[in-house]
Amino acid sequence: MNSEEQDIDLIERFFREELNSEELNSFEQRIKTDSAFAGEVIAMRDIFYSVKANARANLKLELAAIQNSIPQNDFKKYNPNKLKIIKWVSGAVIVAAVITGISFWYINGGHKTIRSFQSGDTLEQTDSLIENATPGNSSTPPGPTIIKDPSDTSLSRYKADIRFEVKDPESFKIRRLGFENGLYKFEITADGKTFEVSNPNPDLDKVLLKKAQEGNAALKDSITMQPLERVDGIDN
Amino acid sequence: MKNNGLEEDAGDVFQDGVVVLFERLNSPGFVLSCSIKTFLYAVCRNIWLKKLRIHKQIPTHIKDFENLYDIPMIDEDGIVSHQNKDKLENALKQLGERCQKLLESYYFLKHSMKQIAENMQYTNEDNAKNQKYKCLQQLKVLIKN
Repeated sequence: MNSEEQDIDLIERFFREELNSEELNSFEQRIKTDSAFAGEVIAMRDIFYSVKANARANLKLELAAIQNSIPQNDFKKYNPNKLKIIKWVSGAVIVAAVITGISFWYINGGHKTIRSFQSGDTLEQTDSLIENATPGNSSTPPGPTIIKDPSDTSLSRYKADIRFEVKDPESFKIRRLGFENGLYKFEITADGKTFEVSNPNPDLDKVLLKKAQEGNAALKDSITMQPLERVDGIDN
Repeated sequence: MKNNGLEEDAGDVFQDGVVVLFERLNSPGFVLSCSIKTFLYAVCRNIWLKKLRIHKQIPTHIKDFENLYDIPMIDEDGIVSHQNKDKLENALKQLGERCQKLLESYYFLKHSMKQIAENMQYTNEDNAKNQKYKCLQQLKVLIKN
């Protein structure tokens, strides 16, 4: 092997990363001092990387040929738009479900905050929660009265007598909202207004109806009041 | 395809990834420390990021495997000057098929001369080495012309 062949062998081993540290130091030193050798290294570098690039290109062609020989029908075509559509539709369904849920909850009075009643509380006329629900007394205001007699002993155990002046009995509607501290909370709608009252009787609607029928003979004939809606939402 | 690519680009990148895997598997001392699938994904991801960088496009969704399996990629494309590259490509095309195969075996596949002698049916290692030297000289002549 002549010196040129030896140099080529050395340079090839350098590019194949086969030189040990001692050989590598000597190799680098020679590049710095021997311009002819440095020129040969550059020429061999170009050849080395060109041969590699050429080999890669040939290998890619072989791979492409293999790929083309495989029937493409065997693969599901990747369709990013389809994924996007699925994501958008799923998102829309979730948003619609959330909106429906919130609307349902709102319509059913879920947003209303029920005041916490303490045991022993009584309903006062000034209590904003009862608004037009007044403690029963003997002075009878005009208009039909459902519970009008505070001397009615059957209601004496109640914290408050409740009297409603209902101009349009058919609008009377009562919903049970919850149970807290021994008191049932009702939402009562009458004459276009909504009241929240608290009462220890779970069947306040039935009691009111009964009182309307029993308490006043005139009312008995003129008022056919039925609870229009009843929702049991008692949190025991 | 989620990152500014076409189906053809994906196929091209995958082929590049397979070529890198092939090269690595031929490198002495290479140990595959993850599944081939993970390796291929990481390599293809790097290749695509490099292509995006070249075309100055910003990737949007390549977050996975970011630091999980980072394959160092040596950029060999810029080593040979553009002018020399064309000249060398033409010279290689003119070089005989057997010489091409011999040089590719030694430079690309990093086979030993003993392996090359066996694969290409040379009588011995020295004979193969001698033949490689002749091929190299022939290539140099073609480059000069």
